[in-house]
Amino acid sequence: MTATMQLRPPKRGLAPLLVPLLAGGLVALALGVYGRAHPPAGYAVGLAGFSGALPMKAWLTTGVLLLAFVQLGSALVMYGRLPVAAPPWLGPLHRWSGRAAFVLTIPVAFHCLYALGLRYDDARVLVHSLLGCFFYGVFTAKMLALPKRGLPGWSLPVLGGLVFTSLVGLWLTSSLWFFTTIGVTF
Amino acid sequence: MARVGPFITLAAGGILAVALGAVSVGTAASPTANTGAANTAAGSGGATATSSATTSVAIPLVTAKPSKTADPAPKRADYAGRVKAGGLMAVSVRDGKVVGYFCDGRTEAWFTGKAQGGQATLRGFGGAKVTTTLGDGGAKGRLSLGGKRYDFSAPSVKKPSGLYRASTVVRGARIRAGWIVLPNGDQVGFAASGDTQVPTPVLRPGTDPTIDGTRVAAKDVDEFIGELS
Repeated sequence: MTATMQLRPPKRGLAPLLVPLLAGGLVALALGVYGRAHPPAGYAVGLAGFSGALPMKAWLTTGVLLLAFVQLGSALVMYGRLPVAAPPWLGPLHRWSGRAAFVLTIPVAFHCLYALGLRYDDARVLVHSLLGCFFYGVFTAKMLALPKRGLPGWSLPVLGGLVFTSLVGLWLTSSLWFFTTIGVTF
Repeated sequence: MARVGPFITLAAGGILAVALGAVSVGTAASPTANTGAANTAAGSGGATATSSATTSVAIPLVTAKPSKTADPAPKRADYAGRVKAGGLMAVSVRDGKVVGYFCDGRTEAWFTGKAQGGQATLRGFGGAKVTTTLGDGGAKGRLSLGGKRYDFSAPSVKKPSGLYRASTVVRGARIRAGWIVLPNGDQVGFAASGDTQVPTPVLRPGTDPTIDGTRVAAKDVDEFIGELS
């Protein structure tokens, strides 16, 4: 019995990732199903101070993108990939810039899903819809993976990298489109 | 703390989304069911408090349709109604930019222009013109088309009613279409492939119709306003 116990997979297995990945997949799926099933309301409540919903979303997403670069930079320092010593405030900076970025995405995604819904009539909109669902799925997976012990070393960088990459894709298919098609307006 | 932090982050996002949902549902009912109350609140209290639901939220909130305020030139409005001589007319405003569309199923005309102090003059192809007021409850105006003048009255409408447009190029042919959908479900549309009119499919807002064998995107005003100059 003791021998078989020792033969069990090493501690750094994929098992701890299972629940976060499953939950993330469910979140992405649920958002997509909701986006298709809920009839678009046409409008939604958002932040004041902008001339309309689209500029609000374009600028909030741009803010999120800037914070995402803070995320990327602080993560690179934490993992020793930049020739900079990690200052003691780096962890809090990473956590709080991430939280701020996540909170800023909520009004944007809320308008997307509640007012417009998931659509695939146009390549840009299709990519944006799918990336949006993926973003929240992989973000959920990363959040749930963070407190787990015994994860493979690559888990958090990969999940964080996917969050960052999908956010860049979301920005390109929304804010950049807005600024180039409609104009740089508030 | 570090172990519950991520859960708190996720929960905060979820709560914010639910709060936005509650406020959106609350304000969605007010413009139609309680226009009077909403107008009074907007008129006396300024831009922030339009319903009791918004006051409980710390950040200042507005609906995405600020046309309900006393501003004479709405930043965002959608109107659709009938032309007295026949056909439907739709006018939509987005940030001062105004787009108009007349259609009776046989002819159509697109118009663009700018809102100025609650009024707009829109120009179309070949001297066609629309002059209209842009009010809180509706747009009233006159359409000049083919040397004749027609009066129209178009009440404010909400999605899925309103104006839709499709425009795409398939195998070298430009397919384009326009629809006006009224709140009672009546609709009129016009579709063409190249310069030839083709049968216009009935538009179910939110879905993409098939024109001349090709599935096309029926875009709402927010989506196509950038295509019109």
